Amino acid sequence: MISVIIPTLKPGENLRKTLEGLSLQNISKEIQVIVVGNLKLPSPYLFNEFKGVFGDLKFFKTGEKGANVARNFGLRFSCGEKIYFLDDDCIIPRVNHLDDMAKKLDQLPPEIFALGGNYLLPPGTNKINQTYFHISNEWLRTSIYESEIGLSHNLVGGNTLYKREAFISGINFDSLLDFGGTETTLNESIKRMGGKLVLNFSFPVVHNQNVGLYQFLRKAYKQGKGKAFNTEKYKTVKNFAEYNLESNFYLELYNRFFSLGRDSLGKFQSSSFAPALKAISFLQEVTTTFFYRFCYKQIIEPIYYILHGLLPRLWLRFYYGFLHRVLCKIYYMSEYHWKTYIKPIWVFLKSRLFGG
Amino acid sequence: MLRKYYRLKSPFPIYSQALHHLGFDEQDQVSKWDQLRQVEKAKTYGYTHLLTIEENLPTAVLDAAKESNIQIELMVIANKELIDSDLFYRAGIILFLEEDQNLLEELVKSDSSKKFLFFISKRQSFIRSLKLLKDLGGIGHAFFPTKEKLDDNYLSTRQINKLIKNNPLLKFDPLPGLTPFDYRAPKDIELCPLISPLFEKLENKNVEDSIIIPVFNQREELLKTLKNLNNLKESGFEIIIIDDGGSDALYLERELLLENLRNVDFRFLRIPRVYPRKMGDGRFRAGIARNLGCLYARGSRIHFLDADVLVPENYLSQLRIDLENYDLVQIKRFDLKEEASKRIELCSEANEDDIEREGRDYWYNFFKTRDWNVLKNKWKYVCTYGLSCQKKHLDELGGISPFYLFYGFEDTDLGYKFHQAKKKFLLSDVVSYHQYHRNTRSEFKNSNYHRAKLLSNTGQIFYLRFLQPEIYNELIDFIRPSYNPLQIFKYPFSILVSLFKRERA
Repeated sequence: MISVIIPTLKPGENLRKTLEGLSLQNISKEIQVIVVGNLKLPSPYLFNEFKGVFGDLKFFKTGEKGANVARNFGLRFSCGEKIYFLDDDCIIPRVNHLDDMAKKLDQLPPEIFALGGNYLLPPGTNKINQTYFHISNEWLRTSIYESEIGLSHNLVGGNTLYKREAFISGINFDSLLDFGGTETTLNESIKRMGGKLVLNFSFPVVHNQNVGLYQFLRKAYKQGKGKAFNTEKYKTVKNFAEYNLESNFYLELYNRFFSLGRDSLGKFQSSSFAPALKAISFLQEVTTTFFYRFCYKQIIEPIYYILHGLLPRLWLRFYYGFLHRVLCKIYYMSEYHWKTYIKPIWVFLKSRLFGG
Repeated sequence: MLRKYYRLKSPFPIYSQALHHLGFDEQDQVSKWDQLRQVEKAKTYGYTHLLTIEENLPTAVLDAAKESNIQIELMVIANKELIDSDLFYRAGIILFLEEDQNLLEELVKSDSSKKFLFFISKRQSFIRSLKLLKDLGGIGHAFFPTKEKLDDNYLSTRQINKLIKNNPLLKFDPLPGLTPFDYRAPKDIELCPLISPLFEKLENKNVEDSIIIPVFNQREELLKTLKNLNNLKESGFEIIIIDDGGSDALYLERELLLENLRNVDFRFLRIPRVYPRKMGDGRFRAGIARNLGCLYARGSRIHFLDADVLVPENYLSQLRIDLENYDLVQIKRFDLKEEASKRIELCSEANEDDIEREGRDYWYNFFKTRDWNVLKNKWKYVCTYGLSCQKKHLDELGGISPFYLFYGFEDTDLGYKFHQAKKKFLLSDVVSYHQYHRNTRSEFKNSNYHRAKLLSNTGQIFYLRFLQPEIYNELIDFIRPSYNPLQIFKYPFSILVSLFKRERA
């Protein structure tokens, strides 16, 4: 029996699609689905719609923000031998996805506690989402350290099947971590207890992410914060990252020498372009050093720290919204007017001022 | 063997607030799998009975209960259709939510061996029914729910005490084996967690003593305590550390613990937390952690110890002698000053000058007494910072009660159970030292106001569990605290003081 845990912040149309995808599974009668909303309980209509489809369906509310709190909550009420974590914006494309995954996990050696898949991007997504997907996919690819079975350091949070043994001795998701890379502490703990993780690219899930620029930047910021949280947490633990310390070292070495080679452009070349290239590289060097010496502290750092202070508290949004409302009050305009009158004027002016 | 009920969660037959107070969940989402898991829990924690309100349980659940020798007892809400029905004969307990003497009379006449449980609130006093039941010779028990708000229909502890006092001939016994359930308890707390050790070192086969240490974010203090325990000359004991879901990475420091405990067997367990812990949030699980430790204890004697108590070299040898003649033994504990606590590594280094004397009169006066058994209400001094007893006694009395989730009283509860079973108490000559207690560690933020608020909650539960007037008279200050309005200002003021202190340092 498999327990499927779906944490959700805003239960809505996304969740319905996810549940519909789950209901098509060939073992849907043998799975227990636990949907955990953070601040909002999913609607009872949704419950009644899918009540008979699964072996067991539960809806909960945690009352606190954080994907990890929701996952822990689901874990506390789950009773399957295997536990599958799915995000509310993911859709399972294949009918025998869960069944195959469970069988694959059974075939693997006993020290392997988890089997994860990857994300797929639906067609027609914008550049921001493509970039984000590329970053996360590369992060996954580089974390594989043994290619035969697919042993990996990291797995994605929204498409992973765990054995019950992984949680039986009191390990769970860190409830304090709600910034980014939320599943990393659990995977780290499993590895430290002697377990291993496997990543297999033949179990994909369609990830319907739709992030805007603001969310994209926030995600980057939060994932950096999550990284900082992890290093702080394992500060006291001896021999931290003994397994990836060496590879990190080589990676660093590689990067150093790569940059050396890049900067030596033209130095050993005998072509006629060499002097020009030299001049360009010299100019570049001068400008960058000048920039770093005189402008960085005065301009970039203050801006960064101001944003650093403002971003998490959403002040920027607040100010924007407030100003917008005040402007609308003054000119007796609604948002509709703003879009229909002011925006074309701005576009026209922009084309005249900055040349298209 | 004592009767112990485990509540089997199932959907409500009729919606009633009383069922909430009896510890059942209003969920129509309980599946067969959930119930099987609950049977497993009941089995590991030594429960003898499963209490259920579901008339037709799945056969898988019935089989599982039969396999693990657990009896199933059905509780039915009393109504007129119950007379001469099949359900009445299957039921073990009949719950009365409304007062109906004719119904009671008919039911008792048809079968007098049934247990009747009266859910007593302000509207229904049930005094006449209890009198009637006494005349007819039936078995009746009372259930008083905990009062949550000022305007709800339930009796306050004072009113309950008055009711019991005014009717001395009637018996207001709680149902034996059914622990009261606090309706305010957070939903995510597992009272009987099923957890196996994270790591262990089991080399010694003849273990006689098990030392159980619950920890919550006390890494430095624990390491000092373990250093002292490593110095004990005796062999044949094990240490069981239970991490109560702390936010630090103690559970990953296997090598560190192995270094600190070279000569001793030990086990490390961890109870996970769903939410991040906030002080005073009703998720205080020391009792649950100690029970879990008892499950894994191999020794015949059990020693509860706090993570921040430094013990002398004669700790075990003296307690072994003491436990031969007495049943419950407690050690003495003196608080260290802040600077002394930083300096002192071993218990033998501590002097008279290092002891903090301010505001500790209650305990230090108790430590002066020669015979604990002579003291009035001796059970109120029982505390788990350094408590020892035989494992068989603990099992007989049903272990530590896990439902004191606010703060405190789980040790007093244990003491009262030992007192009721007429066991002998002893204050041992072993002197231990308590490391400095940081302000942030305190469950009530070192404020008397918060402390009184939390203790009045748990005090109520403790009284309702036993319904004894002596408990009420003793704990009246806790249950109905008289607030000093100026104390409200003490907490912000203490923060200010602590801020200035830090700056100076």
